Amino acid sequence: MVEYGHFKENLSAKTLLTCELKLAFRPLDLMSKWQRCGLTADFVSQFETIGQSHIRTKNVLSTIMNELLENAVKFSCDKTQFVDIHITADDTKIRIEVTNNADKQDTDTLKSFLKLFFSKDFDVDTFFMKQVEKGENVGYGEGSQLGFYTMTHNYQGHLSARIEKTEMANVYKVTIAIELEKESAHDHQN
Amino acid sequence: MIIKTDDYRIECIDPTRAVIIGSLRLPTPSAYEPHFKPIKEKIEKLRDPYTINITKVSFLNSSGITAFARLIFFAKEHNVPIIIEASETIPWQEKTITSLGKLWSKVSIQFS
Repeated sequence: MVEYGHFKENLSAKTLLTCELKLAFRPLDLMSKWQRCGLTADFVSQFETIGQSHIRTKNVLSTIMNELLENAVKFSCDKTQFVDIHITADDTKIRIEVTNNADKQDTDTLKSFLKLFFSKDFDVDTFFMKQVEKGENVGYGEGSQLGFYTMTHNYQGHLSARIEKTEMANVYKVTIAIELEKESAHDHQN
Repeated sequence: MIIKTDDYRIECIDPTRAVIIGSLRLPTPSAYEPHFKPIKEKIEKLRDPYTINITKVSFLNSSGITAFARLIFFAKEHNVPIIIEASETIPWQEKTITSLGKLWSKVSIQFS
């Protein structure tokens, strides 16, 4: 098992959760009707922010949920195995965690990216420019990790990840989590 | 030309201006190509700046950001300056569009 970005199972055990939600989807069902990703993202966002008038919060949460879910669906190596979503929130933070199974090649690509992302030399603006230019030159933008850019750079989401072996050869359990300070999710003005 | 779905609308009637409205969350950058094609067709006939209004685009996923970057590269190839009309009140636009603006010196962004 390997972890990145101080991965933790949940929000702090010391605080009382104000919201917890678990969902599971078969990637196949989301791929056949892609709009289900956006629909799920909007639902999660509405569920967490119900009763609040913060339009920004709804927009940010939906964006992050959608990026994590699209990513998990695309990189699930077995489209019939469930993608799990776990959302927890307390008074100050919201944590969105998405788990899927991935093959060795995609897992290695993700590991390389995460290693770079958490290195001291990582420059987010240079990364953005490089990734979109790469997308243009090769005519292929999938797996460009731009979703990580938007989640962490635009919304100050704290990224962490856990990658575990499974019982199947060359299949890994990949969990990506984004944690947001509620202030940045609700009233982010930067 | 107007492309309309339940989630979004792309209007390219004016030869110098496109208006995009709604939520764009297509699965891949390539999936955006047919939808952005009318914009490219207008750009390649122009010498003057081309305006893209996205003030009412509530969501654009990372595949869409890549597709949008391709539009900018296309305009650069044809040396047609791009004006992006964006909204400061929509979180994704504020920073992402600013980043996209750095792709070419002839991209100007007008926030409202």
